[in-house]
Amino acid sequence: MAKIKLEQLTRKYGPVTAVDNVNLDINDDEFLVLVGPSGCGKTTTLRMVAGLEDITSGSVYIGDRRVNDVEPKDRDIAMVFQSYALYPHMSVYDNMAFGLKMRKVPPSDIERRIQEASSMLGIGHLLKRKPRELSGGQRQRVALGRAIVREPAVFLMDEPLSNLDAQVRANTRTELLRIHQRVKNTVMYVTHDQVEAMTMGDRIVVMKDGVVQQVAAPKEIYDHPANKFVASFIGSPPMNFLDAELQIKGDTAVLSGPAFAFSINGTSAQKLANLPSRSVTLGVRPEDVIVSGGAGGIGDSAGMRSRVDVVETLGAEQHLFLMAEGSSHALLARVNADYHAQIGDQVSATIDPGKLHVFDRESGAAYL
Amino acid sequence: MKAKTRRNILGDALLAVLSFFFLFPIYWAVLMAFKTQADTTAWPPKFFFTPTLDNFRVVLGLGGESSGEVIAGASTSIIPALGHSLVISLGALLVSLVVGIPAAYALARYKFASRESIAFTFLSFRFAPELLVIIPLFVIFRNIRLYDTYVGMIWIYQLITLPLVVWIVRGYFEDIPLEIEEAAKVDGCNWWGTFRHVALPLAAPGIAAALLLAFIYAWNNFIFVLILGGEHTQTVTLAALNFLSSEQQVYGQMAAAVLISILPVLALALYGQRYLVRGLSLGAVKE
Amino acid sequence: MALNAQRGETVAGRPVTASPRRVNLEPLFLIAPALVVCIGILYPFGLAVFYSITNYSLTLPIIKVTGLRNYAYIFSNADFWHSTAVTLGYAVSAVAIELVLGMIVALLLDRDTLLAKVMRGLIILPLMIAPVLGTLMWKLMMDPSFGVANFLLSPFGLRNLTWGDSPYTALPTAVLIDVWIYTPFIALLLLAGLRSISPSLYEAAEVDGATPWGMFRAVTLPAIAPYLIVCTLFRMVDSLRAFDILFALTKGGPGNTLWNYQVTAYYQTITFSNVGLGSAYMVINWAIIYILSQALVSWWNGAKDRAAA
Repeated sequence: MAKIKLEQLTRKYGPVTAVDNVNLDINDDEFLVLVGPSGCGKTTTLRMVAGLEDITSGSVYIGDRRVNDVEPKDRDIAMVFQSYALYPHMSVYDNMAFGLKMRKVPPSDIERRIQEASSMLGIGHLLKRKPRELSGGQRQRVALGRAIVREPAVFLMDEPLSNLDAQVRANTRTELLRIHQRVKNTVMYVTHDQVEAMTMGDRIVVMKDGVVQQVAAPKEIYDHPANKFVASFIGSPPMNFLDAELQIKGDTAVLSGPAFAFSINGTSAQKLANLPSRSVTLGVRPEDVIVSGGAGGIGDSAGMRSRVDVVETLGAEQHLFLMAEGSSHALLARVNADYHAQIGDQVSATIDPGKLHVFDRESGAAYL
Repeated sequence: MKAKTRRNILGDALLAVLSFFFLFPIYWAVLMAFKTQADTTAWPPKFFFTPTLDNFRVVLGLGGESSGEVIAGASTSIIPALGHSLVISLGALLVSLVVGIPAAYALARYKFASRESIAFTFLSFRFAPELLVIIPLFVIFRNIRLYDTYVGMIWIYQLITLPLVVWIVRGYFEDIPLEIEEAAKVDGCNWWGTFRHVALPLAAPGIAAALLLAFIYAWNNFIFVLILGGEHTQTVTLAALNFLSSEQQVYGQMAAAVLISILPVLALALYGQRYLVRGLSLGAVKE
Repeated sequence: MALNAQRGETVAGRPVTASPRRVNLEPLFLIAPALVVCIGILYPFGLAVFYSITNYSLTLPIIKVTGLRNYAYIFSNADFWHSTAVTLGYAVSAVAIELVLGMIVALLLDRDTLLAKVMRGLIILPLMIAPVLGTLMWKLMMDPSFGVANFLLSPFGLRNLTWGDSPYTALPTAVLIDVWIYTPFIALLLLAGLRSISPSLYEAAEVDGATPWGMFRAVTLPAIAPYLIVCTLFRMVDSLRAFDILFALTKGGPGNTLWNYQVTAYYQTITFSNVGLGSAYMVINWAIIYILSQALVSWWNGAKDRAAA
């Protein structure tokens, strides 16, 4: 129920910069996900918002209040830790009641809030148990419950699903979203799992080495990654990358490498004409690689001639690893389950030019 | 498996011999405590005899027979010494708790420049030869009238009990995951709330271990009392030794005195054994 | 020499700190009482060092700084070297025997037999007895005319041992009592170490075809090396400053047979009133302990890292 604003937020440990000049505006009731590889600064950023980490420079605003010098307990936040951090010596009920007791909430209120939260989370029958008697999934719910009963302005979550089994994780993901619908609140959620980020966030913040790479809604990030890192991080299986040289011939831009040449016309070609550098990296997602040929046929003659190296059968689809002839280019393609392909088959791979991404080879910034 | 059983039997045989070595002296002291003077000096030594409670009666100041003479109670009683030991040990313990637990928390949770030097200073008390400190105190105590006083003894016993409490409890505080204390902070605690509601309860086993060990070491101490104590602070260790030095050596009484003196500690040790291993090494070894 | 310090001081890359605000006040406030006690002990410490360079005597009213004369006197005096021999001889033999015996006991206790289980609970008893009182217990057994110790040993051909009464047997007797009291300490610590070894290491060795001795050398020893060093550290330090046993056995006698550094310092100070000399002995004692303990601790840190691999 509150906005969060991060203004030039920086955290340094001596010479090491963990969080570099992060600017972020989180809207009321938004579910914002910070995602990135280990060490990218996402957790440090979250902890600075919580007040558990010193701020080297910059400001944090919760609501309209600058909270840099405010103690965690006075920031009106609740936090779910990666390890849940339940109080081992207290029952589930006392764990959830602790924060409320510290704030002198009347006992009847405490009782009511705990009953509501525990029934929403399905832990009502566990109230008398101690954390060590619970499973991982149950502990996670208690941690959530402890946060929910506080009715804070902001929820902060630090990789809450990381310690769960894959199956439980998937289920809990859906539950979290359902709860977010009910308990409308501003949520700042940290994870290293891009699937969680894509499925849960209203907006995603991709971070690397302390720097924000891109802030956008999931679809926007997927379709229009701002740079090569974001493109490679989001999406599974990951995007294919090919180094290429750019040549402009009139209205057409030609991107070519040792085993391929793709032509682009129209506005995209004009954009490419303005590039400072002719050395680029092409990016294409596995589902946008069009494979033809295989058992029997030769396939699209304009495409890249490739040999099928590995076939992964996933049931609903197949992943083909293709090696381009005459070069070391490798492509991963997603094809239907009923596409017939075997190891050693000759196929042709083409790309829908509308789905082609072009990145500057040095900086990684995206042009298309 | 035959080989394993054979190994086990051999092992048990060796263990039995060693166990005999470690436990026999205690057993023999118990036997002696119930023997008359004649029985204790018999040769060959008697393993079977008619027990008597006289030794205990004399030692506890209840009067009784000693070598055929009736001895009045109080002068030979070890009860006053037991009292002194209790007061001094418990007093030292209390001070160490009040002073040491907050210090242990500070050393565990806060980072400040002199942290390890301070921690090491505590540890060095454990390692220094006692007389290094006692000799100057011997001079000082006389001048400031702390010689042969409870206060003086409790102060100097900190040399034994404080390092124990600080180092053992520090280890337990360090073992508490930081995130739990952070959760308490977010939940609404300042440092005192965190300390009181989270850190202390979770470190309770460690505090119990430290208490146990500190009491045992304090109770068993000898050298401090020998030099800095006097008749008003004579603990059981000193009193028992004086039993030995007295002219008429009644061995049964000595045995009884020794047994009574070790009883509190033995009981505590058997009761609280599982806490002890970690404490014995000041937390260097975690079981 | 921070035995219990975390390696590095970070938890997942973050410093081990509590709330960042007001950090300079809180810890000082918490630690202040302890520091007061510390100072109360460091002060006599410093005094002792000071006394050691004076001719302070309780019979003389004036203290005069005499520089290193006490030390010069000590090092040139045969009594000091005798005292050194007693101190080191006691410490080395006691620790060596306790380590070996403790290891054997620990191995024997680490089994599943009934006796092992029972003894695991009882082995701690000698350790809990005050050394003075334990020595008295042994004295009750060692009387030359009716002591049960001689009685039990006579079938083995050892007759009429003089135990504490003779200058030749007094020190070994004291070492024996030390072994009796402190071997359980080592046994219990090593037992904890043995228990921390994952069984899969032994299973792997068995599959590789190792003999029992081979397994001991390859699996057991490296894993308990840190524990062994901790034991050595504590026992070495404690036996270099032994006093209780030596004093209770014969009050240091016969003559000066059992006069190690602390016993010497005791008599110098209390009987001869020579505070300066007594303090000097203690400073030397402390220096030796300090050096040895530093060496052992750095060795221990190294062994800990290797064992964790």
